[in-house]
Amino acid sequence: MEKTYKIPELLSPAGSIDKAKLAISYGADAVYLGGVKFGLRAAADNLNERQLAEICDFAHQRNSLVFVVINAFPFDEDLKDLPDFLKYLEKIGVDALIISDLGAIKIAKGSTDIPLHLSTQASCINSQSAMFWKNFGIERIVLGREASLKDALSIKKNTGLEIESFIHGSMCMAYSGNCTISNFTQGRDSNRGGCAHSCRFEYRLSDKENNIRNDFFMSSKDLSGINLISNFCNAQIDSVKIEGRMKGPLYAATVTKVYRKALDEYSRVGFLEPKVLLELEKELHTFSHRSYTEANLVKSASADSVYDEREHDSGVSQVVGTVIESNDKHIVLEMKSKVDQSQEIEILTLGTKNIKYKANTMRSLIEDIEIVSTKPNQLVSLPPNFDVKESNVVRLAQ
Amino acid sequence: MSTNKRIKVTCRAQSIKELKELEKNKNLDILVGHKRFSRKGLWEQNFFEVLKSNIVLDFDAIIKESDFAELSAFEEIIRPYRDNLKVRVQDYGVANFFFQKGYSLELVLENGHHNKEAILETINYFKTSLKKVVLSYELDKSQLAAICDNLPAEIDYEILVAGEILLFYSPRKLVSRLDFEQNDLGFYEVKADSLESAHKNFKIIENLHGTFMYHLKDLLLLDRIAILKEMGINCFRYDSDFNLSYMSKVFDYILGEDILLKEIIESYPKDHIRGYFGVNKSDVLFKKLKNSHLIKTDSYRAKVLSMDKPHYLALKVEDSRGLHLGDEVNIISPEGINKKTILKSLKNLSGEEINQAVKGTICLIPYISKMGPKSILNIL
Repeated sequence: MEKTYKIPELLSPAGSIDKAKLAISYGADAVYLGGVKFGLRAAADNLNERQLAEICDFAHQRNSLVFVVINAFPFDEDLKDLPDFLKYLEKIGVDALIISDLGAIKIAKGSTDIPLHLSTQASCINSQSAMFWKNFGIERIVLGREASLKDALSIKKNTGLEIESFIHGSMCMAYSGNCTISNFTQGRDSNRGGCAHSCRFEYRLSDKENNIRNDFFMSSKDLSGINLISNFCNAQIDSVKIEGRMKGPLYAATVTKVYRKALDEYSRVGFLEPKVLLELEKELHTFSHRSYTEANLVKSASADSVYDEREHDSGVSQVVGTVIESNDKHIVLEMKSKVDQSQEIEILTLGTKNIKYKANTMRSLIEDIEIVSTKPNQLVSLPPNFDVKESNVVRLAQ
Repeated sequence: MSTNKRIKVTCRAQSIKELKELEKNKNLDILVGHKRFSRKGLWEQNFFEVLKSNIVLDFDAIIKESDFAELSAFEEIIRPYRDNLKVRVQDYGVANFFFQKGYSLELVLENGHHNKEAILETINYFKTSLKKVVLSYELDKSQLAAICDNLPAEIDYEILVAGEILLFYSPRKLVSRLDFEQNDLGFYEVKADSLESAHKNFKIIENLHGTFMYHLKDLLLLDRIAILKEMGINCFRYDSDFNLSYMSKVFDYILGEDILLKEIIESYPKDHIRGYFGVNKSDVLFKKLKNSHLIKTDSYRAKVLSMDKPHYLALKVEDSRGLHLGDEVNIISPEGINKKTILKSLKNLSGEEINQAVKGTICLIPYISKMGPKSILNIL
């Protein structure tokens, strides 16, 4: 019988060159990242031109794609430098631009033949809007997070455009591009990379009768679509997107690995066994995150999609280091935080099984002495293991 | 852009009584919004009684795919009055929908659209159906002037000069979940004070469309009307409390009557600001958060990953030109301390001496005081 579903591309965030390589290594079909200018994540370690070229080579050698975000709201002055930048992106083989401003789109169409994807910043959530953008040469719509998967399928059928939908990560509570709290209260333009996350603050709300409630009323839970893999596939979504260019390497590696496995498993057998799903869900709780919600994917996000508590580390495993060398002599870790001898660490491999080490097997690099406790940025060595590769993420074992 | 266009004021009527009062002034564009499709609109049953009036129908809500069937049904009802009406839209999908049905459009470009190319592309797309563009109040006066210089004179340009600054628009219902009571008009209205910053008294509204947050102060640019007119902007929006006697003074002032501005401003019902009209530096502060000492230039070769005093600095080579024994280098710490040195020793992670370290590898050089993780190495 002919398949009625589509296995989507897995698109991962890459806030830095290291995270881009990590995401590709852990199974991303494509990564999205920002250059030094024109993107919305000013605090990310955005890539300079040389790094952009490097990541294009790295990705293409591994059959992955590179999308560059041009999604800040530009002023006239910003657009002056855009044509040269776009020509450079075309020269190094960037596979698509994620873009939202009509002025930037006009310049992109006039300067290059790079395919254009409409950024979620444009809050496109209906077919008529998608048709509007199609007239300007947009080939793919990154849907606003307010669209359901049913809406997505309808928009795809009505427009013939490729559809990209968020599957995991933090969510703006507002329609994207429709929040200027940072601009007017902190002097930081949220639509130009300066979001101060005022929506995550606690507020005291009061009505005219002086009823008072303290609440994080504008803070959204994080999106997780792990239980909806079949819905994404049945809705013919072309690309599922993981949010999080600002997040750390543990997040980039773990989330990419989880959704890679989910999509591969679904492709292989046409469903996800409960045991596999449980294991994947468990993995998505191994890094710090807000409570999860399916937000608008199936039905409109309801009251329980609000994350009504203070941001905190949810007591899950934390990244403690990265593998920077692995050969037949040793594994070298760059430590990010303190690990005591009594603890156990776990290396997140590219395969199905992770590798655990007792922390008391760690040795100093030069003098080869036992380490009682590591410090951030310290280099330590471990006995070799061929399943461990450079860039693997190291976390505390649970 | 021509500056001799007819000056008009945009304002809102929420009832037949208000509409009848406002209609007496022929220089007003009166917004009438049905609850279902307008963010601020309160009209329901009476709405269809006023379609023969010379009004602007407000359809500024963002509409989901699944809501289009309802919009289509609604459009069929208003279609007989199409030639008499204009519709005001923000969502490009809603705009496209009414464009294809042959309506005259007013397009709200208040979010984004901060460059002339973006605005011109929009104008060119909707062609002669587009009667008015609402410009962003995030643009400062020099940006506005530069944009207006390049816009076609055939259509009207509007900007908010007295009214609420919308900060946040979410489709989610964020107030009703906290057990507040609806007001008599059928929506929720509360004030919000930040418990983590000095900002207090934000107005929060929850209605059919979701939740809206407004700035604690209104935007007031009445004392800048002359400059705005000079730029070619000819429509000025009043979007504050409905108080006919006060509004009449505001309208008369905007329309060029000899009214004392000071008195109007002093009696404005809310605290107010000029927003970004003077200058918009809202991306300057954030740039300053980046460490200027660590900006990577063409001389950049490697970053310091780790140090082990007094043994080594571990470097990650990040440039294809690599590092070589004997290279003369400058290492810069995040605090801005510079140390020049010659690479007299270069080792791999096994401690073996090497002549060069290629891109992507980690190498060790002798320890240099005051240099640690995040320092960068430039070639001299």
